[in-house]
Amino acid sequence: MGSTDKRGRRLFLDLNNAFKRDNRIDEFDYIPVMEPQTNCSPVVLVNHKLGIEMWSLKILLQFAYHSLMEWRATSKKFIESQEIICLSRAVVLLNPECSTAWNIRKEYVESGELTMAEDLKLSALVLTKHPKSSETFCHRRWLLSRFIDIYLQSSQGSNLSTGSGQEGFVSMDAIDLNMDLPQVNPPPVQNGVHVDGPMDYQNQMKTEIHVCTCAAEKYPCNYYAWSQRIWLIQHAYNCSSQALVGELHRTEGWVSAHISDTCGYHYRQFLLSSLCRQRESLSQQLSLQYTDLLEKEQGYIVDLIGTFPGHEAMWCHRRFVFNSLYRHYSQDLSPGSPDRGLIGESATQRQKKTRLEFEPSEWAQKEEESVKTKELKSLSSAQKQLAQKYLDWMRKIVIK
Amino acid sequence: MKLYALSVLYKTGDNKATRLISAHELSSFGYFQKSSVKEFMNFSSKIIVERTLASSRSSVKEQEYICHVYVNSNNVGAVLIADHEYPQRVAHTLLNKVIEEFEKKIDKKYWSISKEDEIRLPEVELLLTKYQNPKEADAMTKINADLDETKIILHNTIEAVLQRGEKIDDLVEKSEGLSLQSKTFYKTARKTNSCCVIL
Repeated sequence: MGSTDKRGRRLFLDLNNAFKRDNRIDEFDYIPVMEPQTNCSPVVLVNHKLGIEMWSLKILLQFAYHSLMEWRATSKKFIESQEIICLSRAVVLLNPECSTAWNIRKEYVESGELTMAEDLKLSALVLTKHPKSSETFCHRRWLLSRFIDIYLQSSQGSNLSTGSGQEGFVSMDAIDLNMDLPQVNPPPVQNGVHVDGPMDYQNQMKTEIHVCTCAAEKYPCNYYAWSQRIWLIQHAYNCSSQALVGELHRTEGWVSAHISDTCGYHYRQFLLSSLCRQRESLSQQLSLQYTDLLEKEQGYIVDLIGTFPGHEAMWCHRRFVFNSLYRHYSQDLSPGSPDRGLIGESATQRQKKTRLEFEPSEWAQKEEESVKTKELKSLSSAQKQLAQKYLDWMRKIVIK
Repeated sequence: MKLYALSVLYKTGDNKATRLISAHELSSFGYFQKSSVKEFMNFSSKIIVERTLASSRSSVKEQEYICHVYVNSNNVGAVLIADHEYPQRVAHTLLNKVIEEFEKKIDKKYWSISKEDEIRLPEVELLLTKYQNPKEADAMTKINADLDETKIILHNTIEAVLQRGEKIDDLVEKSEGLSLQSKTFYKTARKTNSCCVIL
């Protein structure tokens, strides 16, 4: 135990030195070296990338974890807080699911001995090695909630007075406007809001989106990363229709490049369902029709399915889009639906509606025909099978 | 969907293959993994071409990767390593294209005498970049529809390609192209069934 302890402390100091030498470390990984080969330290720092040789992981983790737990179990004395912050850092780098270590860091953030920026940076680094660590995402949510609270408090009075309340803190530059959004009536949003705090709100949220994208890239179907993104849209952007439309536009490319990643589609489904709930504000503020967005999504997914045959994830998304459209059309026909006679409806829109004022089942028939003539005739047997399943499912949905 | 490596190899009489050109796109791998991943991609390209008969094509699955391979009647082989999402038809179209380019630009006499990675052909790199987006690349080559997909032999693991008595672990152990670190990398990845390594 004694020798392990000494080596552990040595490794721990090496790690701390690495962080001291470079405060722009942007990647962390284990290096597959199972036995110490040279006399050099197993903690390697090149090009802002931090690597630890595998043989030393166990020794380092044991040392850091036990020291930390011992300190917590005893009366929390004799060790400086900076040392504890470093110990918890070592623990979460190697085992990010250790909630105690994260909680210790939370306490230091609350007491002000550790800055939020620093902790956001560390947890982002942890995610480069452990992209689907739920505890790490959870810790970030805690940090961001705190950040949002501070921001809201500091900007109270200046922003909340702008009528539409919480929408006030969604600045235009959070959303790519190079999309086909008509620029006629820019929504009542203040441009260039500045946070009085050390970090700028918009930048922070953009960073978070970036962190989520990187984690999603690193690990396919990364549920945790996409949940984080949903959480962010809900809490930092309050599900504003602008943010939702912006995200819908922004994730299009990602989804087309990761066609079998269910999480990407699920995220779009979340966006579309949220937009469905705010159809009215969508057409009033952004002059966009929910139906148009759905129809566009249908075109998008049908095109993807045609290009890349045989992936189930896409067919599931097609089901979602079909179901939403079908329900929407059916609702449109029923008297007294909230969509009737909406102001801001363009002429073409109304025309379209009258054209669609046929039976929705007729429209469904068309979709069925299209699947039968296209996908069902595909050369790929997987595609054929999926198309058949889709048709069977459709028959259950459409009540004739 | 991603393409990771594209290489051209020449098969000599004794069923050995020499890698003449190779291009890689490994930006999605971690800094400390890149070199090992590259070595493994080269290693597997080679063993697959060595075990593929002339004028035949196949696609070999290995964990989350697929190695598409085509060896033509002149014993020129090309291997493309992609992920599962990448359409097979486009992958094989690219293989045709790269071999065609190679035979056109490089004189036959250099094929057998050149050493590993000695031949420079920037087109290989360009093709690898261009084909990253299969939709765009495919639109330009759609006319080239003479590819019969049913002729592609599918293998579910790299082990299925090996000859009787051969074991992948032995091949890795004996390989000269793999560094000690890469061999360790392979062993640990095998043990943890990790998703970070080819093979």
